[in-house]
Amino acid sequence: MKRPILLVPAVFILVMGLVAFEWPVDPSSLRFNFGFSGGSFKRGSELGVPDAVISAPADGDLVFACDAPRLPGGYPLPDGSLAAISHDSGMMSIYTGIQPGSLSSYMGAVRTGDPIGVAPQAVSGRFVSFYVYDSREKRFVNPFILLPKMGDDKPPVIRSITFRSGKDEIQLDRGVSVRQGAWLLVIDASDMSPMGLPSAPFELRVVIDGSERFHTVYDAAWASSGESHLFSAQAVPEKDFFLADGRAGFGPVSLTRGTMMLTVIVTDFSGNKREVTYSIQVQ
Amino acid sequence: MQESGLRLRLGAILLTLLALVTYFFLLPERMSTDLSARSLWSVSLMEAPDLAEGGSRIAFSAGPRYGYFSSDGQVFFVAEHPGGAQISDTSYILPSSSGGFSLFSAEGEERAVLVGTGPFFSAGRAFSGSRDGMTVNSFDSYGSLQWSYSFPSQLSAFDASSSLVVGGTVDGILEGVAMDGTRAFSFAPGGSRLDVVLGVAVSPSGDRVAAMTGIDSQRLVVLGRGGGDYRVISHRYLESNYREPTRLAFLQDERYILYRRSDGVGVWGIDGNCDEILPVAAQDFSVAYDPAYDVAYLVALNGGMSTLVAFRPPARILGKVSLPDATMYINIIGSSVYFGNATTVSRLDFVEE
Repeated sequence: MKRPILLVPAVFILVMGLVAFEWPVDPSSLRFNFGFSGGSFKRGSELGVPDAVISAPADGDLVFACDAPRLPGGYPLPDGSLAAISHDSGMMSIYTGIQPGSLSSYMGAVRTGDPIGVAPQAVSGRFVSFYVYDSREKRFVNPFILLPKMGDDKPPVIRSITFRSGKDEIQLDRGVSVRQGAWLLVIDASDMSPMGLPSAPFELRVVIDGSERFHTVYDAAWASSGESHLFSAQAVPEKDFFLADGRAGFGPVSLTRGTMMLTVIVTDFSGNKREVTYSIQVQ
Repeated sequence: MQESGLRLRLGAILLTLLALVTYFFLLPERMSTDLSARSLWSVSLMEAPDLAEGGSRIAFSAGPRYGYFSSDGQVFFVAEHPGGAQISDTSYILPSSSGGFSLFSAEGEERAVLVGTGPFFSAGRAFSGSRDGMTVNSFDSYGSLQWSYSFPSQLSAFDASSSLVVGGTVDGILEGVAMDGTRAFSFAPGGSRLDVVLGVAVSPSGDRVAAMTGIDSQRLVVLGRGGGDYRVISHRYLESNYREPTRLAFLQDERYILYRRSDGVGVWGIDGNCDEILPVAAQDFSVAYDPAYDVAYLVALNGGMSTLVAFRPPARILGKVSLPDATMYINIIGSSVYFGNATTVSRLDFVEE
């Protein structure tokens, strides 16, 4: 039953992978990529390259460029600027936070590598954000899917796994026991970005007693009727998946009396894997 | 040293006032055979009280200074903040000590801390944005969050009326949000090689929405409320190919759209019976209409210069006044124009003779 659902992200990634993008900056400057950050789901990458030139990742047309603090109707531009390039593949690359005054707003047609603008100075505390948007499917795509792979041999980190019910929270450890009932499984996992900052993983799997119960691939995010949704296979509302502190919630999971084997597998985009298994006594 | 500084400031204020008096009292500009501009008063904002009681308030914000004055030139309240303030006639917004933003009543009472980024007023309503530029947060007059709405991609155009919010996105989608935060409509204008929304205007009633969209070719599209939905009621192709935000505005009973073009400000009748130009250079503009005189006032902003154009709709120009170089804000109510800078506010009335 689950196979067709699991095929969705696989096909999605395969199709997206046919579109080739170049990194708009040196990938070693990546601070964060596609995941929960600062109170909401960030649908792009954050680049920490003070004063560096941001370049076009593929051929296309500059369709929008503005470095005024606000749009005419008053809406604030994110980090003071917004630029968007429409690419021949139907994808768009979108940039926020480019230094005001440096935007190449004169451009029409854009070639791969053309300068779009300059990243903010370090003293500003601001960063350029880079988004990849599929204008045919009306969804943001994890930029990693389209960009050349980075060398990465470090597995993700699992900080904690807890069961939560109301205000009760039990952190899993060796020999832990949990009362029977419905619990939310809460996972705090991250993958270190090239700049050594906690970023989002690419896949989370939860296996209970040998059967895969949850499988989340951080591949896409979109808004529909004003609500933010995540992950192409599940289309889960953002507010239902992430807790306020950014941990991912799965469930509810019904626990019945006896011994339960719980395995959590976290994978990054390079395929590095971290896996933990707990034997849990349910009372 | 302090005394000489004070003298210099006083001298600067007196000179500004003298220049304004000379400009408007001694050199009144003849607008037309039956409309002329008269200066009523100019007052200094430097000696204003911290907080005075009073009736109807008109908001101003000029650089770091903000506050309220009355139509007869009484200054209620002037304050200063390095980044300036967002202000409406009933409340204002300032950065709070916690790092966010606080909403204050016009009387200076702190009402609430606002969520989101860069809060602002539109159609008298308070809104804020999000770090990624895709979400609009709407607040009631007490600063309580009413709703948050996520658009499909980053907003490239925004406008609001008292009953409708409309956002246009970089991928060419227009979405309207009703008072309760639910989607009123979603529309992809298309019809161009490249999709993008560059400007949007909502009519005061919320019944009509205009948008400048696309590149190769650029379009002006007008939607009208029909039944429970919004549908295209007229459209036209434009000669422009802007790739930056552009201003649009409804005029006079929602019959005309004003839009930016290379040779001036275009005036287009949404029923297709009017296609004219106000030949005044304007990178940005605002417009107000006085039904009492059937006269509209266009403030054209171009390269730091502000020009006030009085015209009878759709596009018969009655006259132009160049506002002083230092003008930092302009507010038109009826046929009264309030304008000024961080130190002075003045009133200019258009009167029929």
